Amino acid sequence: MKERYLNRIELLQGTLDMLIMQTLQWGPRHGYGLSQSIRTNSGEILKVDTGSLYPALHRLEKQKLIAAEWKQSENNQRTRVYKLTAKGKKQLVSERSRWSQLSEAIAGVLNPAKSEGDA
Amino acid sequence: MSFLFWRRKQRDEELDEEIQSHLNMAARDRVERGESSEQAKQSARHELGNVALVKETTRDIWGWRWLTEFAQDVRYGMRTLYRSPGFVAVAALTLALGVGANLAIFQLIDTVLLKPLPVAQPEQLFFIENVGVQGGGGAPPYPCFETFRSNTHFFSGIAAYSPSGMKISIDGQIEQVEGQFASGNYFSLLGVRTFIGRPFGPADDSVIGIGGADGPVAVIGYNYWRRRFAGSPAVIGKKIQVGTTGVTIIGVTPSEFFGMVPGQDVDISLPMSLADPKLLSDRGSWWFDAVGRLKHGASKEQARAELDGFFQAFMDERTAMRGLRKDYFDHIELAAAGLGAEGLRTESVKPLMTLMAVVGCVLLIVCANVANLMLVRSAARRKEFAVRLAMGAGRLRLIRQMITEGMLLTGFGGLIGLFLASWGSSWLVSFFSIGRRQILLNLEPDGRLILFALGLLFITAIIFSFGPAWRSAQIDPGPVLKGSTTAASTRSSRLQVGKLLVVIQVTLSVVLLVGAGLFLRSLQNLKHLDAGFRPDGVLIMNVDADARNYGKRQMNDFWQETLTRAEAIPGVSSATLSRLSPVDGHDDGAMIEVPGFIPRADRDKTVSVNQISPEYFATMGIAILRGRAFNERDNESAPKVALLNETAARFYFGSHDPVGAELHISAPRTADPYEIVGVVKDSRHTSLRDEVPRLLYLPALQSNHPLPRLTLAIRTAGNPSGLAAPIRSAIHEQGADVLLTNVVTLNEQVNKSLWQERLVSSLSSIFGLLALLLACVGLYGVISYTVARRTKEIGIRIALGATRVNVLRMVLKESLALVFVGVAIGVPGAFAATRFISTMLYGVSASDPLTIAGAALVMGAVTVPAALIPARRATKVDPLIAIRYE
Repeated sequence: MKERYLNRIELLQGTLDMLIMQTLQWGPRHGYGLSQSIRTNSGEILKVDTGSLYPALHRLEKQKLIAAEWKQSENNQRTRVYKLTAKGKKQLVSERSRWSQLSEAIAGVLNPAKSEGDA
Repeated sequence: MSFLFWRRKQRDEELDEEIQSHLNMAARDRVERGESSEQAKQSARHELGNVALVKETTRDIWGWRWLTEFAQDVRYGMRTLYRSPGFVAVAALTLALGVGANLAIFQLIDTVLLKPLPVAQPEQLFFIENVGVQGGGGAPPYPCFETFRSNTHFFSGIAAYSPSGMKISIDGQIEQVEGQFASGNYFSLLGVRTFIGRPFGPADDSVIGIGGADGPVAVIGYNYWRRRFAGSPAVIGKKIQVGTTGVTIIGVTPSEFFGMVPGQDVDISLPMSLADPKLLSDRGSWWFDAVGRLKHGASKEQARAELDGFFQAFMDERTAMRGLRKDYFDHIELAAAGLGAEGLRTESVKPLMTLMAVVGCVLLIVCANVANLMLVRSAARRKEFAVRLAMGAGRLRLIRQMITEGMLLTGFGGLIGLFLASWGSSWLVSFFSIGRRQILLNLEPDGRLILFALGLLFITAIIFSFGPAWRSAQIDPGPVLKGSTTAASTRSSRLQVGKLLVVIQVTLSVVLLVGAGLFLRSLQNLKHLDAGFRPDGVLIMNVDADARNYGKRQMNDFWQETLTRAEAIPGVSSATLSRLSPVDGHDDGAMIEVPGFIPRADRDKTVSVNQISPEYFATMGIAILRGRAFNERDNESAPKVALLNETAARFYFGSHDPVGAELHISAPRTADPYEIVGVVKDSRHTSLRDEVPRLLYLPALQSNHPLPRLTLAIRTAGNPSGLAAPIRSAIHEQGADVLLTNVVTLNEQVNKSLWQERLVSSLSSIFGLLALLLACVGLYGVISYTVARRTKEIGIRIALGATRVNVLRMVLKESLALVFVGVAIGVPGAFAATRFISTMLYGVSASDPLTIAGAALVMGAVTVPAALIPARRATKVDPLIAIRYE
């Protein structure tokens, strides 16, 4: 039951975590803002299942990759705002390099003709 | 932010707030885009998904889920239990009995069998004993021990110790205490520090007769210190008199130290150099024990072999003991000393283990009972479970809930059981102490006991709650919620389980009853066997005139006066003095040579010896078969005489009449021949169970050495205890320095010697009856349930013309069938189980058919009323109401 709600948008664990951290690099956000940003920046393709957003946020917070604070929003409402920590920044770098390696590898499998075709 | 458990509530609220603000913002955005506020709220919520699930998943991330759920289960369990006080009372009480009994017995087992000595690194300590084919124990003579001590390479130290009764005089007051002589390095070897003062060391043990630079010193035990000196620190430096030696008390050992012998306490320890110098130099006296600490890295076998080498060389010089050498002094063995000397342990192992098995069975029966109760209760809660299942609870969660309730029950029962156990343990220990010697046990709970208790509670809870929990979780919520009452399948299978449990209870009860019956019969056999003497009407006591330091003539005169005084007391029909009294647990031995008898080994020459005054046989009620008893004319100037018991006469003389024949005593060697003047009937000697040994009686007056300690016995027609006071004052008139100890009637002494049998038989009877009661209650419960279930059917039968008798018979048949099956399994079970206790029985075989039949009958008889009550209820069913009963 837990697994079902983890992340529906990716097959690799931690991709949502990476997207959240990346988005936070542009500045602190609250939960709702994060989901909006990810949706916008992905061109409306990635609709974060908000049911998995908050578990992910709290998981990252537990791992001390992001930190949270209560702030007053524009409408004078209390919201919990997350920002990236130094540890999170380092983790983001390694996640991103892992992701690039992975996507290259997948691309390599999907397009094998490149190396074989030239003879 | 730390993820501390107790900040959970705050974080829960914050999470709620966070999600709420998310919803608000999402709704606001939608409103800006043109939706109505209502619709906006709904779609925002919809987009977020199942809010509750989100919250739960997030909380999961925090961890602590199992703990939260456990806390929930406990709270819920407490609420449901609170609503059924009757159930809780019955279940908790039966659990308390079962758990309490187990804890009490285990505490005893722990204290007697498992607890290591309170010394440093007990696993490195070993007793150094000489053993042979026939037996062994104890250390070799002191000069040999000294050879060990100076030459061993594998022991970091060896110490000798010798428990010895000592007469202590403090400010003129004399008393008898349990003391010991111990080597100077005894305390440092064991790693025992003193509570106050200092222990004695090798320096205090250097000069024979004096000790060391501080003169004769002593260390006293904690209990003795509190008892005799009221725990006053002024005891350090106090001078007291031990025997004829003045000693200074220099230290008090801590409260948990009791020496090397479990069950005994050491009131005072003196350095070895203060012991009898003759013994210290005697190459032929075996009188003390030795313990050594193995060096790090040394192997036990190396150490043993090295000591054995010295021992064999020592024994080779001793030609006198040649015959007995192989039997008792063949080689050195090292026995683990970490648990202390093994006397109490070996005596108690079988009885304690048997009791453990008995209480274990009782606990199983208790679990069966409580399981049955839980089954019935869960039947009533089916709707509740159905609702929970329908709402999405996992079956595992439900099972966990039930098991938690079971643990709560066990917790209550366990708490009550703890009280029962502590009360029971003290009672058990006092029972132990009724034995031949005072047995002192330290009952402080230790880690092992706590671990056992927790483990026991846990396993008990699992045993009785898992089954019912599993069944409850299997229900199909649909039909139950719809109110269907014809879920006959679940009900009948519940009944099957209930019946199975009853059968198990009956089986176990039968086994316990058979065991109890066998023990009771053994005890009866022992009590009623012809012991060869008549214990009624006899009072005995130990008289100690050692302080007088008399020679032979004076000692004889003293004893003569004692007898005269005793006989003068009104009510006394005869009085006697002897070294040993029947079944007092002590023995004295000698080796004799009988002309015409060729011994096959030294063993054949050994006899037990008792030195007695003329009225011994009259007082003890032992019959004289041939010849005569001793009389006043057999005094120190007359020719030496002796008496044999039947066994000795038969052994040495066969069918010839021994009267008139002569025998010689070869050890301890005496010059004179002894004329045998009579043969007396066999009587039990050291204990009732042991076979009668070959016994030689000698007149006390003709003893070669003065006898400073003898047992006085008087026979009276009336109540012997009533004469205790007059005798005390009569003896006191002879002098205040004469010690009188251990005043008991002979009957009491006989009872004391049977303490083990009495302990086991009384406990097994109690638990057997308890098991019987529980089985009856279980049967009653199941039959009631059956009747309730079949009310409709019974109603129909009655309506169709069945008589009350028919109905009664129908119900009874079912219940008796259960009992029959239980007994049928129980009887072979008893056969199998009692094989283990056959060595503890006396006069009955482990498969005694009478006892087994008796147990089966008792079982059957007692269960009839248990079944009868619900059966009679069945007959009273009103058919009209019953047929409409759903």
